[in-house]
Amino acid sequence: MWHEARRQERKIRGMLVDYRRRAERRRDFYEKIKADPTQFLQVHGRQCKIHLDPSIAAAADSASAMMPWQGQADNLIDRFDVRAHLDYIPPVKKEDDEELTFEERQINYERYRIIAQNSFLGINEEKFLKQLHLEEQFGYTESKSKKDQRSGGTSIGFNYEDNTAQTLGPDYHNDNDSEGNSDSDLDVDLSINVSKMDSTQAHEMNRHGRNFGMSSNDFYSFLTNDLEEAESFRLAKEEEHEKALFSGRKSRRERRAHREKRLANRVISPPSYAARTSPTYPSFRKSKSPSKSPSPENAGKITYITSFGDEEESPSTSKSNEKKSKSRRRNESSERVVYISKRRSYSKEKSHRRRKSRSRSKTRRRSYSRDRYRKSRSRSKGRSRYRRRHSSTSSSVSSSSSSSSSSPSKSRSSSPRYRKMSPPSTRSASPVKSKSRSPLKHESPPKVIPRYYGRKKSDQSSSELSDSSVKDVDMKVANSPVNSEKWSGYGNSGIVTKKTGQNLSIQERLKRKRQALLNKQFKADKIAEQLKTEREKQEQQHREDELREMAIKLRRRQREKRHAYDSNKSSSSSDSESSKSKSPPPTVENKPKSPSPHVTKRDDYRERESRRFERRDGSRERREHSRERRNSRSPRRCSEKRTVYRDRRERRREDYERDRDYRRDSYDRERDRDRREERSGRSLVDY
Amino acid sequence: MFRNTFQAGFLSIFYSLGSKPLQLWSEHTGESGDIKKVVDEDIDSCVYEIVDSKNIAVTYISCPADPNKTLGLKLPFLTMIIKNVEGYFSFEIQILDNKNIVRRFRASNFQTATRVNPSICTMPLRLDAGWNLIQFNLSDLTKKSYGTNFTETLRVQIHANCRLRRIVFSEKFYSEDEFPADFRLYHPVTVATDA
Repeated sequence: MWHEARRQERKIRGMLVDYRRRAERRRDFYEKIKADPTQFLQVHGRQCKIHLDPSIAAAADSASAMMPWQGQADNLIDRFDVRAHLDYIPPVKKEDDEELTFEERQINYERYRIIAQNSFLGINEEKFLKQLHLEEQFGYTESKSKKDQRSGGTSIGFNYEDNTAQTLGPDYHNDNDSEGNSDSDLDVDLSINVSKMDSTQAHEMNRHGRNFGMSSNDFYSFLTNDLEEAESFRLAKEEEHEKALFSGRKSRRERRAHREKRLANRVISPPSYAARTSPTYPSFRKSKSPSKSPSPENAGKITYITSFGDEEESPSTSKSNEKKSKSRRRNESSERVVYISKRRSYSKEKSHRRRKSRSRSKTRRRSYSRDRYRKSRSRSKGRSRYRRRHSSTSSSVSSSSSSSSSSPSKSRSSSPRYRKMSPPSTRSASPVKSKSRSPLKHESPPKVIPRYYGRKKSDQSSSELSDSSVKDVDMKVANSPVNSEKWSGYGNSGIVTKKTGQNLSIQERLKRKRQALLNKQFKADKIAEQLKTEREKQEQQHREDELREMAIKLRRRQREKRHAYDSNKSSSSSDSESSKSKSPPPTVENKPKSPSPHVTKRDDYRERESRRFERRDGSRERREHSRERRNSRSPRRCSEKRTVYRDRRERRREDYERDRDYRRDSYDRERDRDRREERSGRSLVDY
Repeated sequence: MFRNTFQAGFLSIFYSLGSKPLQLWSEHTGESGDIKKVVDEDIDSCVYEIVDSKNIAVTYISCPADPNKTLGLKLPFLTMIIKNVEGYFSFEIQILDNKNIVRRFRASNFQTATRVNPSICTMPLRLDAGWNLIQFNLSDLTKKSYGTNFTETLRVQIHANCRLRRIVFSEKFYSEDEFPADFRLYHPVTVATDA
């Protein structure tokens, strides 16, 4: 059994090895015969049968085979002749050969290079053809013998075979052949080593080439070109081969290493914008670059965001600011899509700054209730819709026109947003800051990457735009917020049309108008939202106040009740029962009035807890307090009491009373809490 | 020339038995070249002989005769009946492909490797001894060498060192036996009867 299994295993292993070997052999074979598919393009003539059959001859010579062309009896044509289609054959005027074009010369080189070479080498036509025939019939025996000869070191211009190549000196002869066998498919026809030729030989060769439709030194130069091409081809092939070695899934690492190695010693050309400064507008760049430079710095200048984080503001404005910053960030992202290459660096910087400011504001406002976030989320949805619309328009811009031509509209669409970014409150709050920063932008080196593409016009307009926007920002410090908003809505587009209006197409103008409308709409939305949030906040504030009032009222009432109970107690113990039973109704009364406590539920609970502890600690105090109050309220009775109980007994009684009071208090509290919880649960459901 | 004509079946552009076989052709002869009508001993019939012992590049016939004109033949199969006279021989066919690029196919008997350039594809040509039938599909050739489609033949050029009997374009491939009698090679009746 075991032996049987072993035998089977061995058999299988043997088969595996066999298959592997066979596959290798097959691959080697195919590798050997592998050739460029174009090499199979050959024309072969077949020997033609010469019919001796008289019937065929009779048919061919019959009168029907030939016919006169256009009724001309002296011009007999074949029945299939194309001339039958022609009514008239124009006489051809002899033209003198004009100068050969480069292409024609190259074609001639391709046509006749072998016979030109043969003529140069002085190879006999018949012998050459015979050799070719022999080679094709019997393989390349001749080259092998040649190689043997060469290895022998002596070169004798004699061969047993009728070798045409040997008629010339070995110095001319193909040294390619030695290596040529390895890459034999490169250029079999060429038997000259061009690289080892001196000038006289080259000259001689060119002279031969001139007989074959090539001029001056064409032959030599084309040959060298060919050689170079062959060399590059060989290199490419080698590389391909190397790559093929690392085929398969396992050798991914090797492939990668190979690639990296290749990339490592590659000379990396500098990126296009760095490598080439547009030669067309040097004067323009020189003159415009200082004015251009502010634009990124201006963008950087929108740092009022950072400033508002540090300042103490009213919660309402800060909140709106935060929202604004959010929306701005969203805009920013869309802008980034638009500005793919143009201002990436600065936009990045800006976004970074914005992020910082955002986080700060967040930490500052952690205590905000959750529903605000919910609101903001819904807002974001709306904004995103807007953004989508915007981005779609921008993409259409980029697709419809070249990047350079679309750049003005882009910059225009973006700049109003920058303006919008400045929240009115901060603007009014920190005018000094923004002003102090403004000189900085003039000093800064031009960050704008010179675009080598792009029209001059558009460039100019964009730069001027940025410039104008700078001015606008400066002006806005003085301006009222409403005014500035208006500015951003219309003024900018007006500027743009002024600058580039002449060469703008209707389409672009329409686009611009749409953009302006969008901006307006966007602004209106924003204002509405702001108002809404304001209102909501106020409402909330109001509610909170109400709640506080209510709580105070409740506490007071309870205290009063307690006091009443206490006083009752002092007069009669039977009353306490009734007061206990009576106590629930007022709280029940309170229930419907309770203001949305589900948000502050936890806080309430904590408060209650703390209150309870407080109460426990300060119950004694309160007792005293209440007594005092009681005293103040009814000094007569108090005095009576004083007069009545002045001894130790009274003291003891007081102690007892306190104890009992405390117990009842806790009981009350517990009940109260239960009720409250119940209430909160109810209210949660209600909401 | 024939772009706007109806082309079907066979279209012969050369037949050595006509009155003026080279009416559509232009003759170019070098110093040592010669183009003449001879009687071939194998078939006892008139054929055209193009010979040049030195430079085949300058001795050739070309159709159409006017260098500025083109044939415009849309038939893709080319058949030539040519005699191998043991010398350099070459012919060239200029075609237009569907990308409107002019391509040239040149077959030469002194070549061993095919080279494909954008404007010219040079191929080796091998002929048997004696009379040969050369047939090839231009459409196929264009596809294989340039990856484009054959549209029409513009020019046919036959260089030196051959004897020429017939050049014909056909719609489809015909084997030798399918050709009409006058497309084949035959001994004249008189010779046959004498033999």
